[in-house]
Amino acid sequence: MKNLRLSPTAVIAALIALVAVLAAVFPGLFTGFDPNDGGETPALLSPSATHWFGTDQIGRDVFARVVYGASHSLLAALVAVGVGLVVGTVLGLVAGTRPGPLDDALMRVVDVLLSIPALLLSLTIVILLGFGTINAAIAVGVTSIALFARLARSQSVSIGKSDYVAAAYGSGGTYWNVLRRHILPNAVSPVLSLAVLQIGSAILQISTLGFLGYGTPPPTPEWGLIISEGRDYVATAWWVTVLPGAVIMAVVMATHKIGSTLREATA
Amino acid sequence: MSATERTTTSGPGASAAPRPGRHAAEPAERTTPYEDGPANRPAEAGDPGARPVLSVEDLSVDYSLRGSRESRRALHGVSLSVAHGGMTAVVGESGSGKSTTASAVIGMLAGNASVASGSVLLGERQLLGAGEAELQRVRGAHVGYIPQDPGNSLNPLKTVGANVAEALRIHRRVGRPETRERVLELLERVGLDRPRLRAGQFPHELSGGMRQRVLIASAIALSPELIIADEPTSALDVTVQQKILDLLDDLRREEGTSILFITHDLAVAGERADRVAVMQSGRVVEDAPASRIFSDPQCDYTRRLLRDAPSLRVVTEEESGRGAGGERRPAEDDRPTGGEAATSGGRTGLPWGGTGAAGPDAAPLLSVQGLSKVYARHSREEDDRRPDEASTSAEASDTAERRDDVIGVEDVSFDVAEGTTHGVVGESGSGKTTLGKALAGLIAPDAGTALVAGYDVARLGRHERRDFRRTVQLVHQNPHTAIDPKFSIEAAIAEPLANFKVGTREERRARVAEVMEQVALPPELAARRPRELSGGQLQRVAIARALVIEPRLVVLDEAVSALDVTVQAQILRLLERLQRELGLTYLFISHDLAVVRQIADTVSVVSRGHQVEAGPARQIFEDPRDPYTRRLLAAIPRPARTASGASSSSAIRN
Repeated sequence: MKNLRLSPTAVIAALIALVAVLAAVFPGLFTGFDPNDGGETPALLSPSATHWFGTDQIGRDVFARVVYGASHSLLAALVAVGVGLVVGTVLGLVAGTRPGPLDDALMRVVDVLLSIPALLLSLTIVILLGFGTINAAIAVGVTSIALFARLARSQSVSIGKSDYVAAAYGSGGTYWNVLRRHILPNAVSPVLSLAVLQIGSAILQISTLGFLGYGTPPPTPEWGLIISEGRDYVATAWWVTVLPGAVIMAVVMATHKIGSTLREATA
Repeated sequence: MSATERTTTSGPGASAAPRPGRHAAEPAERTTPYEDGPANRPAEAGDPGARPVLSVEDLSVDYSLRGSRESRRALHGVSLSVAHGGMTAVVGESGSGKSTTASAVIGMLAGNASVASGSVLLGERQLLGAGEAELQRVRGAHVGYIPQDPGNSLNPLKTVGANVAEALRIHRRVGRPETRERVLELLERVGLDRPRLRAGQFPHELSGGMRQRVLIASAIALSPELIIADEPTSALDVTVQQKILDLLDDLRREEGTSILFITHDLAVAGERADRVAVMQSGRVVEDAPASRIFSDPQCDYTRRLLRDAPSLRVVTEEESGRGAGGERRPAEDDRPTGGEAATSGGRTGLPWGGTGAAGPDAAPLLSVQGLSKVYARHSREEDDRRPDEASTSAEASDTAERRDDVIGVEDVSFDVAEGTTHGVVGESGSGKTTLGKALAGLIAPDAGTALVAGYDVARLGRHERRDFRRTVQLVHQNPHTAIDPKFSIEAAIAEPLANFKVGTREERRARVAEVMEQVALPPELAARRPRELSGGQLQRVAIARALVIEPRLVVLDEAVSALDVTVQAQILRLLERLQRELGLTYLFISHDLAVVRQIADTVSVVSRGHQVEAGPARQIFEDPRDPYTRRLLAAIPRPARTASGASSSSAIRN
């Protein structure tokens, strides 16, 4: 981590991510408009100095909706990644350190998860759980469990073969002792950088669910929902879909860049 | 061959030896090496302007440090030369810059390295500053390269023949049939049996020694003037090493190829090279004919290397007569011999006198009877022997019984008295590590018993197993991988105490400090991380961790093999002192007979899973009964002896 070399793109990515986080925490800093009430503002105004992203079909400021939407989308992404990270890592560590039937069983479950297309899987789960921001997030998180489990398993297998683990068992360490003190700390950094990498795709997947109407209910300004609401006006008012879309793209690419930078630094 | 004689004639050769002096010596040099094969002498051998094949002058190389503009100098004005048909050995410990020198010669320095000054002349050609295209023409065609690790230097997806043919194809546009002919010729030249069969095999089907032969075939494919051999035998067993070195000698004699030989092993350098350049932290500290390096070393560092090299130490003892039979350290008498005191008294830092010695009839601390752990078994097939082993199987059939080769170990028996050291010697694949793991309780044996301080290793219950771990500790080969990189040194040493819940936090801290002092680690290292320590320091940490819970038996699995000779000597001295002070018993597993000879009281020799010989060290080393043991002993390189008995070695000592 110390010899992390920052390229200009990585710096830009970090700045974008920082702005996104600030918008999620203090949306008032970025805009004075109300995201849910356009008041007397005319509908479908094109972008201008006052309304940076223009206004939507009922006169709401699109920029304000994007800013206020950050908290919903980012929170949901964090929940999704958290579910995948915790469940996947635990499964992977146990599978990697307990060779035999348990490992086989866990890894076959993971194979099944991997074989189902992520969108189909998350749609199925969200229908079972019921619509909503957090449920959509959990559904997206479940689809990434397999990825985390695979990585954590491969890490723990190679660490489990290392001399220092043999030495730890040789000096009286118990299984849980060794898992907690040696295997987890050494396996965790690549897993964490995968987590950062996953935030981007989680945002995308949650927006997809929102766009399809399975996520956050209107009028809450969730990113996928904003685009979905604007899609009928693409021909006449492109800004309602394109500009929020560009924001999502920028944030996703930024987290992706940060994730891959971290991965290279920890590899 | 007379490499040694001819270099004694070349004048006082420090690194900056004046060129005229060397010129004067040239005629004498020319005549001797080719006596037995004048027809093979290259055309330019009689050239009056006899200049060295390779001449490196004042070479300085900098490495830029990652993430900053600063750079660190890795080579400081290195000068050396390789005479026509000669072998110059570059000797040094890890980090001395010997590999950087080799890389700089063929223009293959790492991306963050840059040449600050100097010149590299290959014949008349200046290689420093030459363009990539020119260097590509030089590499392979004029300079051959033999890498260190034959294991991963061949393309595993191509056959052996295709691997060798690659060098030919890159440099010469020749037809397939001709290429094939030449490849078979080369494989035969490097001493592979049945070249036609070998050419069609894949690298994984060959042994390490055979792969190294294939790499040598690639290196000589285009008859280069110079071969750079970067630790070509360091990854090989001694008996295989000897044969590869013989092959290089043959090439030198018959083809007139010159060799720049990079090695950490002073004994190998002294045995084979005619000129030795000793490197230390990027400088050539001594550059002289091989004979002079050994008879009259000028530099303190060279003297230290000579003193610490285990195989050389044995040679000097033998030859000075004083060590006749002295396979053991002089401090022999101070050592505790009996088990009585050890079993009765506490084990903590008891001062050990020579009293209370229980003698040979005391119950041994470790008693192994018919121990077996077999993973796989091959019956010996005569015609599938590799050439390296042709002699082995012939000799093996001389011995009374012919046994199957075993992966693992079969039917091993020996006793070790408390406070003594038992050496287990064998080449790779002999089963010595399996034996060590079984005795440390890490794997369960198939059959036989191993009693360690009253515990039967084969029948340990769950709770017994944890108690057993307090009695026996294992020290691994590679200290860099044996300590968790995330732990501080103190936490690493304290780990066994924490696992067994010994004492309070403060008591553990005090105990760690005490053990660190015992292994001579400065207390300020306690808070450091493993990556900040050197290999020798880390091995001390590993030993401290093993000692912290006061075991009685320490299994040392190649515990000094990954270390530089001077560090190795320090660790061996440390082990001896700890044995004296704490009455420890060691099981010392090593492929290196010279090291075992220094430290062991009793020795077992294992080969292909079988114990071929066991007994007191003195007897094994002076009167080996088994042909395998004899072969191992004969393969220890010694500078006094020249290759393949070509010429007498007396020149050296005079």
